[in-house]
Amino acid sequence: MNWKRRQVLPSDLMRAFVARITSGKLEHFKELGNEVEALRRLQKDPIAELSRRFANSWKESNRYDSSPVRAADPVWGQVSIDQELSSLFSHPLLQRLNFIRQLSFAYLVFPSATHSRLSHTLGVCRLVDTALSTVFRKNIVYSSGGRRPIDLKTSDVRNLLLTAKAAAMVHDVGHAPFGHALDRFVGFLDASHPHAYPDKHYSILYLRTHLKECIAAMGAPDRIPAILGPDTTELTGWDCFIAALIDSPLDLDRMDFLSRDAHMSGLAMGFNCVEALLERICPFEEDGRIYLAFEHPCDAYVEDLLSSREKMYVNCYEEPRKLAAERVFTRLVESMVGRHGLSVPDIILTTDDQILSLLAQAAIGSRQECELLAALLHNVPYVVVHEVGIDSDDPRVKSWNGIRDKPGMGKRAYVDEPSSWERSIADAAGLGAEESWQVLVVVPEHNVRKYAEVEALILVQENGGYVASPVSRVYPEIETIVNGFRSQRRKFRVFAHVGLTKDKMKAVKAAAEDLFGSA
Amino acid sequence: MAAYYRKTVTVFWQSFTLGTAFSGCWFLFYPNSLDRLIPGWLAIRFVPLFKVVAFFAPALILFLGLYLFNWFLIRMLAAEELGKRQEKIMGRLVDSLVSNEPLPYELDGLIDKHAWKSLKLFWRFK
Repeated sequence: MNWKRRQVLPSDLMRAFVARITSGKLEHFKELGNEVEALRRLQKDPIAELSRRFANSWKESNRYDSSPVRAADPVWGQVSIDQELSSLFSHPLLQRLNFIRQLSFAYLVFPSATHSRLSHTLGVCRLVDTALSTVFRKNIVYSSGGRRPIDLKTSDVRNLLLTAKAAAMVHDVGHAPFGHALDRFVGFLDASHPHAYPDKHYSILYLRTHLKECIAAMGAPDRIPAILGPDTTELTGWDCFIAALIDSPLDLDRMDFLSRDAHMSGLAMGFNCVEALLERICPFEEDGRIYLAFEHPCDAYVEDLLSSREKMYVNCYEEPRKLAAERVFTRLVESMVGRHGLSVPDIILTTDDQILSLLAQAAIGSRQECELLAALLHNVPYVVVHEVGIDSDDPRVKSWNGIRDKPGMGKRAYVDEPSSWERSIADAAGLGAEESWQVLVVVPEHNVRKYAEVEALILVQENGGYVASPVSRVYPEIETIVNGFRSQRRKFRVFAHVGLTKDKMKAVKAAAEDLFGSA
Repeated sequence: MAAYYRKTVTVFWQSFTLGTAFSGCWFLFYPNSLDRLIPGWLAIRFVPLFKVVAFFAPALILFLGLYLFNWFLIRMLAAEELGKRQEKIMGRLVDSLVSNEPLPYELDGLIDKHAWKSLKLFWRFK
């Protein structure tokens, strides 16, 4: 025992005595004590403490809801959550998705597109239900040797369905506020552990921590994280099929978000092909794994889906004003994280409204941030003054292309370089560092070069058996069609605030052209 | 000047000084007076040790006496200050009860020590 640092605790007599004179209100005093402590922390750094409290509020489950959930859905009609999954559905981490807009700032251009990520999650659940029901109704597994009935018991089928729906339900649980708006910031902030898809990383992390008990109660503590994990090569049998339903070149996630976003934005495209493709889903078995394939012929539907997707990217997901808003938002979050030492996991676990309130408080005292926040809340008054293609010969663009996919260089490509270019353009245009908020630089998305969708498998009959070949081989013309749309997406864009005078606007344009070369 | 000792170390040095002075005088003026008190069964080589113990015995007895008397004085003359310390300790114990955090056993002198001892029913070492 260290006699100089001895510690004492109240004795049992003291406890009984205090409990008696406080009439059992000790717990209440404890709560008050905790509150006082929290208020002290809040006073010390309100932004950091609030973000921690916001994040913590989503971690603990109260587990009182265990009834089945039925919800009306504007896209698919009705969505239901089975009783076995209701505790997972009612977990605060899942419910947080109800406060995150699926399309981030698309509402600036499409005011009705304010649907939540939870509605998308429910939509994917519904599509999983439909797809598996179709598969088990047909009761056929295809292979190179021919076709055979599915040899699963009724209880196995039910278990498979629940696992697939649970995986669908949690596939987006790691999304940061405003959907993908922060991906290019939070994913690359830690240069030593970059995540091109931070939402997937955090989804798996929450499954292994806060949601562990919920999924363990379903009897699949490790199965769902493995299904949603980045490496699906270890999966066997139907788990491989479920993984492909949730995340693969032509998955149900894409089908739902495309249909839902198109419907809610009013662009209305791509519905019929989803229904048709769901009807053509078939399991293809090879080497003990069951792959997701689509029955030939389905070129019209695949082409419709993929071209609709590209149109949605051009007209909605990468609409210039939405991109400008996302850049403003990223700059505000970057500044807040830097000034208040906020942790990325805490930022991830907030909602749209919570992070906006934090940004509003963090902006106090900084004119630049106040202006950016005002711009974000007042319809993002920025216009594109210059844009240049990703395949441009400009040395700066080439250099950026050279580093973007290199390990550990993501932070430089997606976080540091855009900020540095904004300052350079503002300086060159004579605005100065204080006015650099009037210039925004948006770089292309990191996966814009890869076109994975054409790797989806098409089931073709051959030599008495079946083969599953990629879309690019069975329907080569589709790749050419969708590539036409893609050229519109591969762009660096420079925005200027509309409040700039004509001369200043011209100066910004000239500075941007000097930096990136002419279009 | 306070009528009681505030630190154990002061009690110790006072007793040590007076006790050893007394022993010194005794040993000086009555050098052989202890010889008749040496038990017959004690080996001859332990006689010096016996004398050393006998030399410090008055200091030890004085220390114990002073310490106990000082306790009495504190209870009598520093009752108000002792009460304040007890009140402070009780307050800290209640805080500890509410926060579930242990508190350090810090002693700043004899009054603190008496205050802690007098409240022994209400606390325990961790």
